[in-house]
Amino acid sequence: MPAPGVPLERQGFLTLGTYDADDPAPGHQHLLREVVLGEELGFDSVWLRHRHFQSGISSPVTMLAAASQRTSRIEFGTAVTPLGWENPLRYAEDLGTLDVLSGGRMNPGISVGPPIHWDDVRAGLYPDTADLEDLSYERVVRLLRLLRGEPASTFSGTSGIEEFSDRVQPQSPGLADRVWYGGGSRRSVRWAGEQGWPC
Amino acid sequence: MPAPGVALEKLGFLTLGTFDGADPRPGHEHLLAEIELAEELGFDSVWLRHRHLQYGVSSPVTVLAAASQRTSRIEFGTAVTPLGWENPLRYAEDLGTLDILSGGRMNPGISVGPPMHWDDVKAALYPDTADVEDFTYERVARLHRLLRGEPASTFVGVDGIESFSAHVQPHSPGLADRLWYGAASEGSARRAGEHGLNLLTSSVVRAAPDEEPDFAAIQARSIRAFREAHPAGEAARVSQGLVVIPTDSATAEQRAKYEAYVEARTPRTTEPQGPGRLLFARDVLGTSEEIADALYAHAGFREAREVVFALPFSFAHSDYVQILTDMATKLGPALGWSAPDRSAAARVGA
Repeated sequence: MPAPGVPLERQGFLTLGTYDADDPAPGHQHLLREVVLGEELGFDSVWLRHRHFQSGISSPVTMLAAASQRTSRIEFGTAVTPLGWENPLRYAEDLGTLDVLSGGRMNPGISVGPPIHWDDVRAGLYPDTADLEDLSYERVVRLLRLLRGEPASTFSGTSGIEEFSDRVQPQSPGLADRVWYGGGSRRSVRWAGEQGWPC
Repeated sequence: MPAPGVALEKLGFLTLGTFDGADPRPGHEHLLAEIELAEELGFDSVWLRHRHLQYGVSSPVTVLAAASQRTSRIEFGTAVTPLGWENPLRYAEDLGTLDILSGGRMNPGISVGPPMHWDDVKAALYPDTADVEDFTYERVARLHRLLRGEPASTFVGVDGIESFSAHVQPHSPGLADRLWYGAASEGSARRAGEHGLNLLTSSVVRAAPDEEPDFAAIQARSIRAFREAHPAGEAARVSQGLVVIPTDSATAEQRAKYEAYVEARTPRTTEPQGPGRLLFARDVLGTSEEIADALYAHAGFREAREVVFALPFSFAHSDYVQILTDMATKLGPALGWSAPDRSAAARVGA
């Protein structure tokens, strides 16, 4: 809690990764260069917003996987991924893979609730399941359990010539402890605290 | 369609990206190093299998995004992503982002149907929606529409200080035309043709109940059915993906290991497996010259102009280096393929 005289411990930056929808490549390349510059300048972390149907990064894990090959130290994060858009099991695989590729540098930032413009996007996002999707804190808990390596399948062992695990793969040690919750209300901040998460 | 004398147009390879569950990083790093090597050798493409709850790549888009920063020319693909695990809208965002980052090098390969081990994974994958998820071809059609940029939201305009569009962002032109379908049966090959997709044929086909279990003949018939149904007809793209293991520069020890691997997998190739009558192709092992002879005698290969040779599962990095090197410098040329200029394989050939 820096008062004047107490040094700030960590300095990160957060960006949207804006691009021109008619020519998205330059905006994406600029963002990668800004991440590289952030590392050169000594920033501790870079965080990406997570946008949908907008001219901002819609797949931060993909962007950060690219950035992982152009940097070696700076930490990554999302701030925040609206979990209502994600399947926690698939997202745990994406995050695990990114964390392995980056040497344990990922900090998934999430929040939950119905997606923005829910009535406009629900038919595109969940054409068959919109009314049944659980958009409560339970979705966060599911992600966290999967990142911790709790069972995700009732089958493990060999099937044909292939071996199956009952846990999300790859498992990246420590990733579950680097989940951040984007709390916008006193209630959600208190809830995150009760779960023992950074906020 | 390479008969002897007709040049193979594209040489790609397919791999699983095996890793140790207790220490996954080295396996992922080896995979990235193999992709870099393949680009140097002149391969046209690398394709990743897509596994879940296994010790193989579970997020190929993430791995290929990393590979996009270590390569500049080689094309990428998946073979195949089981779409039952994906939300087509979210997946279209991932694919669009990867395609933009890689300069238009992505070829998404997909198939559809209920996920493998469905009863074991449904509670974790779709705890609230398992009974109503649509695993029909409609899921493919949804992804295709979204990649083409068809509207998926009814809100367009400014909300607060932010602008919203009706279609998936980023939109990468051309990506929708690079969608491939992994078909094991003649019926699904024909359907892929009707929808104008490209066709991936692998080392597995489905034999019809009363059909002679002749892998090559079934595969060749599927390819012909696909082209008959495809708007582009004979020009429609098809790749063949057998497991192929060239031994030209292998050590005696490597050869013995490869032979044992093939031996262990051969029994399942002799008759259709399971109620679905899946028929597996024999792995093709030998010198490049022997492999080329075997391929020219294969009715499925003769219908294709592109190959995506599958690497065996669970070999060591040094084995893959040897196999990839022989594929690009010996087997490819034996099939009339020429590496792009400036690649290591082109230099060896010169």
